[in-house]
Amino acid sequence: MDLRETDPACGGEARGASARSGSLTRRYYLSAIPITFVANTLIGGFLWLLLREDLWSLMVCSHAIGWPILLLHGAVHLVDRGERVPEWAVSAFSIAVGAVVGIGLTRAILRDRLWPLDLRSLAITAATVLVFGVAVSYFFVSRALLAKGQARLREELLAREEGARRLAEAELKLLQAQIEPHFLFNTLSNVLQLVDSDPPRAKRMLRNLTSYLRGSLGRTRAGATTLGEELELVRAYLEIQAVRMGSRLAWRIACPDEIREVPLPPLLLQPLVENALRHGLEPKPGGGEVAVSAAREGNELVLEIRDDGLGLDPRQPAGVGLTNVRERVRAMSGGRGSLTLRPAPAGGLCVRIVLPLDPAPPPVRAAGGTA
Amino acid sequence: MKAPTALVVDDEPELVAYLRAALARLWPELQVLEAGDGPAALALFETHRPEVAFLDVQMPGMTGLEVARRIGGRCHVVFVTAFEQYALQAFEQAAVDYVLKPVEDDRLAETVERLRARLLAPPADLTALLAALARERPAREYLEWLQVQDRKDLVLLAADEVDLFQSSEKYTVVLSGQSEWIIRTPLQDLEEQLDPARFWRIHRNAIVRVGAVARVSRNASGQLVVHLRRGDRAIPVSRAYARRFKQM
Repeated sequence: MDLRETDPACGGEARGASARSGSLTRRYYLSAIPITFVANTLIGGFLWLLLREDLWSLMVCSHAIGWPILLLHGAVHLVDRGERVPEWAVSAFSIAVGAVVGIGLTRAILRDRLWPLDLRSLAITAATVLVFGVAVSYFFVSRALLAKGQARLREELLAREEGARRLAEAELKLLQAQIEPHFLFNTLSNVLQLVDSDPPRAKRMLRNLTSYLRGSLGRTRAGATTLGEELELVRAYLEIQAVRMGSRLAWRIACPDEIREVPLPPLLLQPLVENALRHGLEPKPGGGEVAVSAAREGNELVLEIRDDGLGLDPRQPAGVGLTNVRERVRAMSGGRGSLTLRPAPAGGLCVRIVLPLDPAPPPVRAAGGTA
Repeated sequence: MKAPTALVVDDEPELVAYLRAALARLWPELQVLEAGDGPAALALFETHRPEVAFLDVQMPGMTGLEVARRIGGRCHVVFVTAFEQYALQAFEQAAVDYVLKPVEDDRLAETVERLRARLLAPPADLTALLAALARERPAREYLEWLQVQDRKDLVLLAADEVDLFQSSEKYTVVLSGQSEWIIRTPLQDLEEQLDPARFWRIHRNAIVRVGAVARVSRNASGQLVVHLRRGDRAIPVSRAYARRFKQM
């Protein structure tokens, strides 16, 4: 976990991005050069209007003070890469030292041509420099913070998307490896019995087991699949379970033919159907029904898995399957898709997935690459 | 001597049929009773008092282990299981008979042999084994799902989706990303039910999910402030709870 204590004041907000945004800082100082030039010239002009002293001298004075402030500010940031010093302190330091250096510089340049100015002029000059300095610094600081904030936001968004994608990918691999041994051995036991008692059913069971294994183990490497293929995997799984559970399991799959070719990332429905059986129907003494449906609603694909089993145990953590499907739905649809769980009216659980059906860019392809 | 009776219990009908057929081959004089779940098995046991019970471990409603506990040593028990790693070790240690699914004739023949030899002896005492297996279950479970009202629908929200619980007057506001819901469970009750490793109380009126925290900063008056990863919410940490963050 990334829990860092940061300092008070605005400087704290910019932290974190600084290490990665050296180029941003450079760009920021380059853009500050013309602005500083204009500001210094304006200050000189303002002082001239106020004091009616020699314009050339006032310009020299103004620039001689303004540039050291900018340079000092940049230098402090160059040394303080980790930005441990708060921004206000950097500004105060730059203005104070910059003003002293600037006055010395002015004297050096002008010699005693017009220097010293009288006490009143000096006070006004100092006050003006201070006010402008603070205003300009404030302007720069907030601009820098804004730019850094935006850069950080962009980076964070990218990192988060990348992170979510990797997580989902890793977990999908885990999911593939998670064929429940219970399921496998019990299915084989059933086949063993049916070979003697009902050979045609034994054959069908083996064929379904083959479809199930191929769909769960191999298909994921092929990337994106279609809704029809996913439903075929679900059908094979439900037929096996119907033999195992006998009269305790009833099931339905409803999907109009015209949407069977819609691309869909692999193992999006199957883990949810497995959940419905494992947590909803298998542990329920009387068993029940699971209904899987797919439909196009406007420009969205709506997938539903509804069972009348035991419902969600509020103390049973969301399994790898559900979490993985949720993450992938989120990643593939750029936040436009959703996965919602609801208690079903007849008891049990209703899981609903809504995915955008955009012609271009196909959202499924984007996630297909991840799978 | 009357023909021995066996009770075969499995929730999968084909597997009951399979075991019945295999027993008929290996132990022809054995009478077989069938049950598809725990309660039916116990009812049959009380009326017929079989000498042997073949119990599937994983069954809906009542596990085979629970059925064995209720039978309480009044008959010889053989556990039948597809895959129960932790239980198998325990069975081995306690020298309790078990068979693996798919059940093989050779292995079942051994079991039948042993049962025939032991039939006159009193059944093994399983109390210690069952107590040990019961202890394997997780001791404490936490609140993992919340029911929230989303417009007119009831929606289930995984606890791990929640970023923040914040109490306001009579309600608790549940924040998840950009979405907010209101529940009636008081913060105090939530704190008791949620996993303390994943959810921290940070203020009299706030519980935060640790994984949802992006960073912690200090505001101008020196108070710690928690920033969430999603959204730009900043939640103050009261002094009483600040110590947890300082240790990090």
